[in-house]
Amino acid sequence: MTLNKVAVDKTANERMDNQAELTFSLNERKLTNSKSKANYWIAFAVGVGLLLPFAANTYQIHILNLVVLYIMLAIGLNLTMGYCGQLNLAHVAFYAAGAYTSAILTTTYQFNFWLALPISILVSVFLGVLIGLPSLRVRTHYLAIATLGLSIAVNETIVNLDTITGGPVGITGIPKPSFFGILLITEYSYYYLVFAFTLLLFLFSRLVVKHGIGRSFRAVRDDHIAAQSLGINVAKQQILAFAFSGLFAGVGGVLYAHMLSYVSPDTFTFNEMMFILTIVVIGGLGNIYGSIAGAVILLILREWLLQFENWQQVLYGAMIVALVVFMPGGLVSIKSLFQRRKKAGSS
Amino acid sequence: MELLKIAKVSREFGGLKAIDDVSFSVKKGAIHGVIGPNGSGKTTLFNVVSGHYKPTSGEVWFENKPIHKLPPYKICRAGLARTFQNLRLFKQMTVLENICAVLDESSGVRILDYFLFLNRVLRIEKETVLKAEKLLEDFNLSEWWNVQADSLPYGVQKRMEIARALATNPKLLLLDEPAAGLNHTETDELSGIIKHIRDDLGITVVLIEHDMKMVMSICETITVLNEGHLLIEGTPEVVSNDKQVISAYLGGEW
Amino acid sequence: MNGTVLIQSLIGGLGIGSIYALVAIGYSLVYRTMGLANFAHGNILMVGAYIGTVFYVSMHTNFIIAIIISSILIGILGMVMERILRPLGKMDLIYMMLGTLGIGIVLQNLAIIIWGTDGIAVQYPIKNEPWVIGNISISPYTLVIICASATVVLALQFFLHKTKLGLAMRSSAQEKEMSLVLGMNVNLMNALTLGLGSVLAAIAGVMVGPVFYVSPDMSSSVGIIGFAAAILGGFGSIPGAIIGGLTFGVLQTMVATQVSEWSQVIAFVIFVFVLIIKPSGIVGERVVDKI
Repeated sequence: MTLNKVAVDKTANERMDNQAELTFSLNERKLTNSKSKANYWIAFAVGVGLLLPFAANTYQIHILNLVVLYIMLAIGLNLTMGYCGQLNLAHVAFYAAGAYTSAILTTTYQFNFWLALPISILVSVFLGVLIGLPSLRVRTHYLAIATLGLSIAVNETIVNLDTITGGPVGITGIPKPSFFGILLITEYSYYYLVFAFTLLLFLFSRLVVKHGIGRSFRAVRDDHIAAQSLGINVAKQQILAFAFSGLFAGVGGVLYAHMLSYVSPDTFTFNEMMFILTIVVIGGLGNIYGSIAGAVILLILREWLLQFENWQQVLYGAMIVALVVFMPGGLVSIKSLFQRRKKAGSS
Repeated sequence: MELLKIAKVSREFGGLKAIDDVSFSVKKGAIHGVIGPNGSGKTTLFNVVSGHYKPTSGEVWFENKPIHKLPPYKICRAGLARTFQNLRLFKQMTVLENICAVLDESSGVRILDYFLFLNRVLRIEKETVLKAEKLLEDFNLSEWWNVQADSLPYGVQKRMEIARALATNPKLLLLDEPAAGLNHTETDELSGIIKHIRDDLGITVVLIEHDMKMVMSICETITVLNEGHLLIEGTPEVVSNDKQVISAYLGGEW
Repeated sequence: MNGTVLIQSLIGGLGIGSIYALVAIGYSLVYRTMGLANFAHGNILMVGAYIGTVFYVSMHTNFIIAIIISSILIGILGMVMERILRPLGKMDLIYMMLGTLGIGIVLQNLAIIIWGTDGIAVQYPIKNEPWVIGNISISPYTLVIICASATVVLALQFFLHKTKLGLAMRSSAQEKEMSLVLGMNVNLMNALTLGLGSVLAAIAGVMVGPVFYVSPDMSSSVGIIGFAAAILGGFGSIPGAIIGGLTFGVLQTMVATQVSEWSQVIAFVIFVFVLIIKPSGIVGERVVDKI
């Protein structure tokens, strides 16, 4: 291919503009086509999600609640880790911050759920920004252990501040929220609250990853040096990624606390962090749909493994190793694997 | 008119002086070449100018403002873009996304818009894609728009990196060995692109290059570095006939 | 903090710090050789501690024999693990982390199945009546830990620098390609390194048994701090691991004498601050981004 447009005259320039418009509209058409297809799928999934509780027994609705909650948590972590490439092992600390703030406000201080919610989100986003600050100086393994250390520190702080947080015992009797006079007391009604928030945050994350913020995140992930030299404020993007982590985990934390009416520091441990991380990686880093699939599959897997009693965790660990070794791109890589096969077959 | 002024810049790495007291300036509208043997400090000089390294001493002025204390992204926003010796693409993004990611920085979308003003985000997105399409067309990259950067042919990757640097809307473009790894036809093409950038887009170009034929044919001024020092500066004729340059750089075979 | 408390906590800190140092060296050895951050290291330590304890407590063998048996078995386990970890060494950090954590989960829960979740209390192998010098009381076992760890580290340095096998391991760590060209069995070298790192973990695990409970929880508490210590010193460096381990131990113990329940929190916060000031660890080389 040769670059024959070097010595450009005016008319060629104009022609070029027209051409550009032409290819643009072509590309735009391709994009909108796939966009509307995706929209149909999302609408379909929402429909199924709304109807599922009618087919679920009390045990299944509990699992459904958790699935939808973990989708939210996983997408939040994916934005920081998969898109922005920041090794954030403090997601669970933001989750704790959201849960505990709302729990304390609604029990000790008798706040209304809808007032406690935004305050709790603010607290966890603030914590996200704070714990994200080391990312401006340290990277890779160093960032992973720094965020993990701070996350452990947050958990220990919760245990130590027992006059406020109830210490190792935690907080009980967290009230159920009501929605326009309807008290969401059963898990069936509560499901719709979790579902609504997850849907909102999913749509938000979809908007983010498809447009400017998502591209800046991925630019930082792929090459932070090039990103800097191209005018991208890398520090700002990294902090923003941690703030998103705080936002998603904060909302998740609030919903979790009011779902179980009970919080304790045992929930927000390293193991929980690893569970969310596993969802994200097994689903596929840098793909929000992968996180949804990952949450569904891993939670079902976890329940299914219960029958093996003592051996469940052993099998779980072995499966993680197998998945990482044999499917390093995550669940979403199955599709591209297929496509590559097809291409190879046709050519 | 001086667009870029490098004043007595030194940069040390653990006592080793990679560049030592180098001063020169680049005129607006020039194609300025920086040459020198391997290890003469050319790339270090670029890294100092683009803000990745802070100078140990000395100053860098751009459009009569000191820039050597600014972080790289601010230097870029001041109008100084660069490419890298070893390509630095956003590997897992498509060509169009690579360009858009850069255009986003000046598109004016605020974080708040994502929460409150959806239409603004979508409208600006369309404008950004349109701008990117035009740039791709200009660089004959349109057919690759949806290809992931790391699966492009090498020559196309190089061209895309230049296009991406231009997306920052610079006044000065630093090219670090743009012809390395290209064949003859591609190098001629590249000369054409560089002239196009200067003549039609009005952007001043500074390039580091080892391909002497290309440097001599397109540069108006050439700065020669040797072992971190500035050896000589002048027109291609002056430089190519200078005895010091011949002995230091061309190995005395000329 | 008065002088007595200072000296006492300093010695206590060096004791637990030398355990952290042994663990940290294990992390760094494996990282340097295989490019792998092995998050199952803490679990290996826990399994080692259990094996040693079983021999020492249940079978009444000599404490030193228990350490040796545990080291040999864990060394073999480490070498076997190389085969499982090999594909992970080439992956991105996140996958590596998850893969090794998966192996850790397997080890952890096998241990729970075999030995249960309740910890085992281990008797001191020597008479551990504190020595009192003036106002200062010192636990003799702490001194034993310090001396034993120092001996192990010296032996390790001798092995890596003076023996043919040690040199081969170091060269294969530094120049994988060239070692392959020279006909070295790089995979075997990796297996030996992983075995060696695991042996250090086993020694640390059995030695720390009498101080802590031997329980499945050991893996996360000692494992995470050991990793943090390796990072604090500068990941991949043996002197760094020693400095990092001792620093962490002393820091934790000193804070604990003042506000015991906050020791973990304060230690980690200080750790992060040190990293912010020295982003590549205390003795780690300042990495200038290659452009």
